[in-house]
Amino acid sequence: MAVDGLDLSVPEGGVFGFLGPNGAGKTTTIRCLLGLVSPGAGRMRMLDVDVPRSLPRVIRDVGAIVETPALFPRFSGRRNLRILGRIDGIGPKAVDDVLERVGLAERGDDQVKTYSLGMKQRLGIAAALLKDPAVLILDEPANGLDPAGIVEVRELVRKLGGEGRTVFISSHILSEIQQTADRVAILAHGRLVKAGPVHEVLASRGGEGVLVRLRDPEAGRKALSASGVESTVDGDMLRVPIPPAEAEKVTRFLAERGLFLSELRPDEVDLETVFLELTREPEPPA
Amino acid sequence: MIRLARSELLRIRSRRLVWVLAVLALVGIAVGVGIGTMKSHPPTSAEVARADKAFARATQACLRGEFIKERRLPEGETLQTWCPDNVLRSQYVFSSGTVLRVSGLPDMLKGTSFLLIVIGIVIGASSVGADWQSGTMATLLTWEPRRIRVLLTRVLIVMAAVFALAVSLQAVLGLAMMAGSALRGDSTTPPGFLTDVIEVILRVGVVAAVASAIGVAISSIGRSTAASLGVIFVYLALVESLLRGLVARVTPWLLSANLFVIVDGRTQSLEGGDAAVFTVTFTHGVLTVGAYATALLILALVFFRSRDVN
Repeated sequence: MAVDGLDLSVPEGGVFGFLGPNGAGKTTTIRCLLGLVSPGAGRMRMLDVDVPRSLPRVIRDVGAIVETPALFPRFSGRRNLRILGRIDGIGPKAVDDVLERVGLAERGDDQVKTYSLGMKQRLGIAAALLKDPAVLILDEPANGLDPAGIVEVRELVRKLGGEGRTVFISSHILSEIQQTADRVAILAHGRLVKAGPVHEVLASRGGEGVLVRLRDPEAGRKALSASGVESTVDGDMLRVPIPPAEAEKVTRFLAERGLFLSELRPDEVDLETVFLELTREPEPPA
Repeated sequence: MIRLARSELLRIRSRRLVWVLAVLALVGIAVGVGIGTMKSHPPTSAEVARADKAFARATQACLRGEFIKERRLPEGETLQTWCPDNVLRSQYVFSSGTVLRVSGLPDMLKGTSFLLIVIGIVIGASSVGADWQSGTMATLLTWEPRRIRVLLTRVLIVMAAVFALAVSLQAVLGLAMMAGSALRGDSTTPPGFLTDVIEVILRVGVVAAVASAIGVAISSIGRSTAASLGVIFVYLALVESLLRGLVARVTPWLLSANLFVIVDGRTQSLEGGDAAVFTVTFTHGVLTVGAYATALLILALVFFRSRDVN
């Protein structure tokens, strides 16, 4: 079963990151939402209507790309968008605007088969944006993009989320999600393992503190312990479990004992670490 | 639905295959009529007189039952009604040489209907197969999730496009034939010629359009242009031939036989295995072909609506 017992609520507005390893069920979930795949059981609602049954009522407000955006390879990018746009009575001007927005205005009349993967991704995003939708569903939109393209997509997604739209984005590029999403959900083996605001998901792992580099970390540990602050030695670093805002205590305690640090930085937990820890767990028994 | 139809119209207009097939057909018409015109020569008065005598003899022979036995005549026909329709002056006039005769246009249009039926099937099957091959069906359904509406609109637009293409190509062939025969052949026409030509053109156009609908239906089930074309042509060329030979009584219900009856526009005597002869009327042909197309489309709609799109 690709998705099992997934219970997920996506608030209106902002960017929602949907994470999970390959085969976790992200794309299947999106396909179910869009009526491309029929779920065996359960209930889904989008924009206050049951989907897929009432999807036609709200589809005008939903833009989506699923996996690699599929468009006719022998048609130009512009022609592809015009064909889609006509379904909703969207004219050539809007097509030109959206091509401009994703940076494909100059290549708009070339056949899609001549596009790089990154250009195809941007054309897919253009197709999703063409309806000027309230909900934007982007499945791995940064796939195949070069670093510059990834930055462009990140900025575009941020901007779209900031416009009041709901951007539901699945990705395996976790640093991108951490930088763009307000909330995330992490899926593993077809089940939801964690969901919430990004900062809460990061905090759930614990581990807030500072890292200190000293010539003699063991001496530093003892000095801090004598001052009532417990710490652990991690290689040539000292891991101190106090909020970064209170880091000046560490420098003071160490200096008072003639120990001078060469580096002090927050012991940050990134989404990738949390993701790997949550998704590394064995598949639950059926 | 109008907007979806406009989108489908733009899509089919943009398809290279449609234009390639149209251009190939036009080249074929130009080459065929061009060669016919170049090889044609106007008849001499002696040839006309000789051919008139041959036509008169043939008509008498037909009325004596030498061309077809009365028992083999289609139902409701007599030699007096059958002979004038089947023994034509144009078949005997100018028989001494190669002459381009515009009077032979209706038969030529019927003869080329096979190609237009093939074009219809190919355009129909590829119009859906291309979507599955490129994965654009999922993209389309994120714009219009009502699948029955999507498929029905596509069928209607493809049928309209194939009908227009078939009628246009036949009209071009007719005009080319008229020009060629006026230039170097025989441009005399029998009474009712124009009506006959228009009726044939419309019948062939409708048959090509129905063939395209069958192509759309099979391709929607098979989700592949090549596989669908394979299935259709194997069925028409092999399965129906075998059925005709092995189970003679199914002959009046075969698709190819009924398509032929519609194109011809008249009641036909069809031979099955064991020298059995079956009379198939035009109405029977229309109803049978309509039933085939409707059943396949219903099946396609059921499949398209219920299966997942990946």
